[in-house]
Amino acid sequence: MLSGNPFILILGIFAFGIFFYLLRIRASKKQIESFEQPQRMKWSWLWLRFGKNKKESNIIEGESEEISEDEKK
Amino acid sequence: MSKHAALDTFGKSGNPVIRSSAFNASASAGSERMTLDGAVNKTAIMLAVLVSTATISWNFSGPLIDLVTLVGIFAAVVSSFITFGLWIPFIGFIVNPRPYLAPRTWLIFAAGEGFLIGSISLTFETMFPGIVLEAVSLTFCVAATLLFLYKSGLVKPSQNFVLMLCSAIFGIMLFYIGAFIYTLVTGTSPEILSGSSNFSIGLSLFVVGLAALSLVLDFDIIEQSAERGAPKYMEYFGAMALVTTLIWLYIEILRLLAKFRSR
Repeated sequence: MLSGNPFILILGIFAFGIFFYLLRIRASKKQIESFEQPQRMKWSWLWLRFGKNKKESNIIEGESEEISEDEKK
Repeated sequence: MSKHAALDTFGKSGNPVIRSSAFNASASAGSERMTLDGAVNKTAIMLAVLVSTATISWNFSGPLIDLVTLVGIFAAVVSSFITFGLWIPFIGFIVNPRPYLAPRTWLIFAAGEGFLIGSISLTFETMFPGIVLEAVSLTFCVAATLLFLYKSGLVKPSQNFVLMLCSAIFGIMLFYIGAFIYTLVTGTSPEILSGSSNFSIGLSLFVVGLAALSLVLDFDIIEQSAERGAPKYMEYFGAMALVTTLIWLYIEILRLLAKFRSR
């Protein structure tokens, strides 16, 4: 099993460590800012459209308008 | 007189359901959010489960282990379809994705995929000694490179990029299904798939490229979900997606190396 190219095997050990190190750190500012670009792929539909266990909110969304008592009169 | 009399009243309510810390505790528990660390930990756990079951199918043989392997692979395929759904270009989702099921399906998925990887790896290792660890090493080399490109912001998946990649993957999937049917009918695998000609190696390189680019989508799902405060189950979903692509990449690299060695 260990008869493969030793250079590739050592490289693989380093790559494994680098992979998990990079996976744990946050992406660069450039990447995070690109999330808001219009043509950028957005994945929020995964949990917004196909998510479950969304507790129904008792807050009615929309714009509220405050009516002063003077206007009523 | 205050204009917000009702708010004042509820705000000062003595009702324990509204005012107590119990209310706050349940609210925060229900809105548990995904973290990057959580997704990474789940990926590592899934890979550990995968390697464990792969070791079982590698080291043991016999009718019982064959049966367990078959059942495991079938269960992994079913759990993948349940979690990821099935998308077809220009039609849409035939099966809707259910990311909220990922916390229940990940273990079956990882264990089943492990059996698949174990049996495939053993077949290749028997033919070409040392090929498995080389393929594992190259898989992580490719994954680490793509991850660096993604994290640094050099690769940003746009909607067109995702559409083209998904269409190409769908095309390859159709090709593999066609090749499978051809093998069943004629009893021989098509030359382009199993041969070691330049064209066959070129096709393998193309598929490795597709698998590598698919990793970018998985990194993006994980990063965006964590950034946008997605629900906790997206940690499992992101990890499952990443492990699926790593497995695909590994198998394609394994086949590519085998083609190089058999020349």
